[in-house]
Amino acid sequence: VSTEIAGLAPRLTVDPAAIERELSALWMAEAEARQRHGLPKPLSRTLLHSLIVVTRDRAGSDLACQVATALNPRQPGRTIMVEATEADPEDRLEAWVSLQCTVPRDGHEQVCGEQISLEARGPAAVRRLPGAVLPLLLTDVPAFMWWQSGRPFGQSLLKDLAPALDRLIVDSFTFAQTAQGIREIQQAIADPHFAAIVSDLSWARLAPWRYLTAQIFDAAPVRPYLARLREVEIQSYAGPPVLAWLYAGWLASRLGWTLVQRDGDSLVTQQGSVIRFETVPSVGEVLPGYFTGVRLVADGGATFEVCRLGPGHTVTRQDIGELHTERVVPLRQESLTEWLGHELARLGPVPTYDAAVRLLATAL
Amino acid sequence: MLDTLTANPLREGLQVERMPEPNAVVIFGASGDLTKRKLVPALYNLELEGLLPNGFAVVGFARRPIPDAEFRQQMLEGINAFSRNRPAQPEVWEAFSQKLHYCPGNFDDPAAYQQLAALLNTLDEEHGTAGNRLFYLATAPEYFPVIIQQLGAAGLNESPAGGWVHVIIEKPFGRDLSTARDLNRTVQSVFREDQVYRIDHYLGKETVQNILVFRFANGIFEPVWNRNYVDHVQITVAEAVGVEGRGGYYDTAGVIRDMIQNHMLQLLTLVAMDPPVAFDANAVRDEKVKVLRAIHPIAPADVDQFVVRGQYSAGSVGGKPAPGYREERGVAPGSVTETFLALRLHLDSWRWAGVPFYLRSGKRLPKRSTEIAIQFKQIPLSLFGRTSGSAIEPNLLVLNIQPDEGISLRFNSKLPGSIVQVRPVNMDFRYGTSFGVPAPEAYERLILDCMLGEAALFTRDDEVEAAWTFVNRLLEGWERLRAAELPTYEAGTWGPRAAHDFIEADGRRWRRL
Repeated sequence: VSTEIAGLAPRLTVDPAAIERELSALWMAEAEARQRHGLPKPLSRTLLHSLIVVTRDRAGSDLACQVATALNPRQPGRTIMVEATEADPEDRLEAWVSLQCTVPRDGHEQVCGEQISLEARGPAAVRRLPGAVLPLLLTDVPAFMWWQSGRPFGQSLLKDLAPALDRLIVDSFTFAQTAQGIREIQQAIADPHFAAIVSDLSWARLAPWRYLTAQIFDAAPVRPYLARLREVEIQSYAGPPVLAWLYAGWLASRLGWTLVQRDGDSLVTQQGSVIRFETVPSVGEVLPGYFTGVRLVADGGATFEVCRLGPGHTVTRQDIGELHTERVVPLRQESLTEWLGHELARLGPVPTYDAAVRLLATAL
Repeated sequence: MLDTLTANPLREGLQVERMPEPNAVVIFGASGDLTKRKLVPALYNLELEGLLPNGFAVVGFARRPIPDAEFRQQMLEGINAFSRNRPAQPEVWEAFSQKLHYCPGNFDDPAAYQQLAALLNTLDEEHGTAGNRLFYLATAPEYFPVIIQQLGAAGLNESPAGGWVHVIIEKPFGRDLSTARDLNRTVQSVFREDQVYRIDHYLGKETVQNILVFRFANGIFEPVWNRNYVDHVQITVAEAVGVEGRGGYYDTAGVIRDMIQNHMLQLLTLVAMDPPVAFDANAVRDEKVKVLRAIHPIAPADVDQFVVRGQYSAGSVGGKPAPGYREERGVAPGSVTETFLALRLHLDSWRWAGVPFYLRSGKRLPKRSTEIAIQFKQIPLSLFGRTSGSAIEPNLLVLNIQPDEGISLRFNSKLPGSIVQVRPVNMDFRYGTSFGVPAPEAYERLILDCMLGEAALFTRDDEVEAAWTFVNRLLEGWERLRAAELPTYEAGTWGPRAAHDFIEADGRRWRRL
């Protein structure tokens, strides 16, 4: 599947009505092009969401643009890219629009998504941004904001747009001060005036690991070992600790543990279990801080492991007395596109994430 | 207090909220095409998606004695040729293949079932399959009764560890009402009904399941889904292919057994049923059975008033020459088996009284297409007269099942201009343009459901008998007409002329697909 920009309109001074007109013109041009080429089916416009992407700089915008474009074939929507540079002597707010269509394989439908890029230079232009974004949100479909990098809480753009959002997607992996960032997330979740659901790309990064761990205990004969877990060893590549912490918060909250003490590289629970964090040197293309595995040890020595097995696969092992089982499954592609897609697919709250963050915020 | 005995607390909040218990799948007919093309690729894909339990094993059961290694090699070839994820990933296959085993034996040999039982007990120890069993009957239908009886005789109808035992039975489930009842009796002498999963792979298709979501998760359709607003319903299952090497089977079945009795009546039930009280297996199937029981009986003597049959002659499909049905391999030269059928039926219910349902299905039609079209009644009075020389078209809602899954609604719109000209336009929703994620194969969904004990997408005993009760009358009627010449249609056309005359006599016409 490849993607092409079906239409790109010239830069405009921001005017929501003009932007909508430009987009309509692009759709019409694309539909006419299909007719000219004798394609049998008309182009249909299906947009599932509005996604505001707040980026810090041009490199961030380019990356976000790639991610949004890659998501289009399965989750087409209107992406509003916002690049704000307050420290700029100019006062300039500009927009440009494009229609991005997937070139379909034989027998597949053509899918198009809309992209509106807003560039604000200077403090006055940045202040006008919320007023430019709000009228561009699609009616009656969910509105997401992806704060691409760093901690968003306290930023005026978020404050102004938050009432219009269904979900704020942060990336705790990019937080410079992880513990402080987690406490801020917890405060936002607990704040009754902050209506948007807060979710985290790090939670999506952990999804396969949580899934594979849960799967071990789906088997009724194995499930009683959950109540007998005494040691948890979480291993990750050296780097930001947030994935290991979130995994610990998840496991502890699901098992009803209370984290009472942070002791060097471990957490101790009121129930007497120990969670240890280990780091290993980063190798290959895997990024620092990424999860490499977990080992759970129960009373009596039964052990359960989920570990990376080379690039792209995991192995799950369990040893209970004489019974030793092992299975290999592919690890879902580790990419921003996958993780963002995971978050855009959810509409309701994520109580398990909230519980994990709540527990961590008190322990860190 | 952590309640680890009843539910897995780690499962909460995950996208997949239920996972099967550890189990062993036993496939009878392991050397057959279905196993290689569909079943083992489906299991492999479930493993790739991480949807199988850790404790898992597969046992192939067939007559030919071959070692495990050869069975595994055959299955690998099947995955590499037919799986939607191919070729097999070496890392995954290496671990998965160790879970594949083979048990040779004749279907009627009690000793073979004792060996099977011993092997399954060993797998419980070695693979942690916990005594849960799924028996999949993928053999020719004549072996179903003997396999069922032998499973019972060997005590394999109950789990040794207090777990579950489920049995999937492939189609066809009987050749007529009498044989279906006999098979039900045999099956129920060994298994409880809640252990039995009669498979119709059509129900595993994503878009078929979506019929229920479309109808019962949207509030705007139900109020007009009845005799007050609907003029008629057309259900079409058109195939461009011929008998594809299955001439021997098809010649004894015809379109009535191959398509109508199972797939098309299932589509009928989904589109015509009342809302179930819950989305669980028995509540859904209760409503489906009501539809089948509400089909107005067609007396055998009246069959030709309600049904048009046809058989394809030589022609061309998709620009390629196609032989006539009687020239196909395995088909008797003087065969009177129908390859096309058009049928009108009525439902004796308050919701549908007076609304005809037209069903048509055939082989060697111009293209492959499956859809349900609900045509609404004409507006009572046109304010705009006849425009562009034609009357205003009634609204039409089409549920496309394959190949272009989607939903379209036809409504009327004004052509731009200074005079009023009305033209019908389609508002199309295509799954492909909204959810570009590939849907799982029907067999993947159905096997997983069976492991989970979810029976809503499988056919219940009374459902299959109710379908045969209706079809039996048609078969009886045809027995009287056997001597009559079947109308023929040229391969690559939309059936015999009589099928068009049949619906046009009601003042309607088949949709042009």
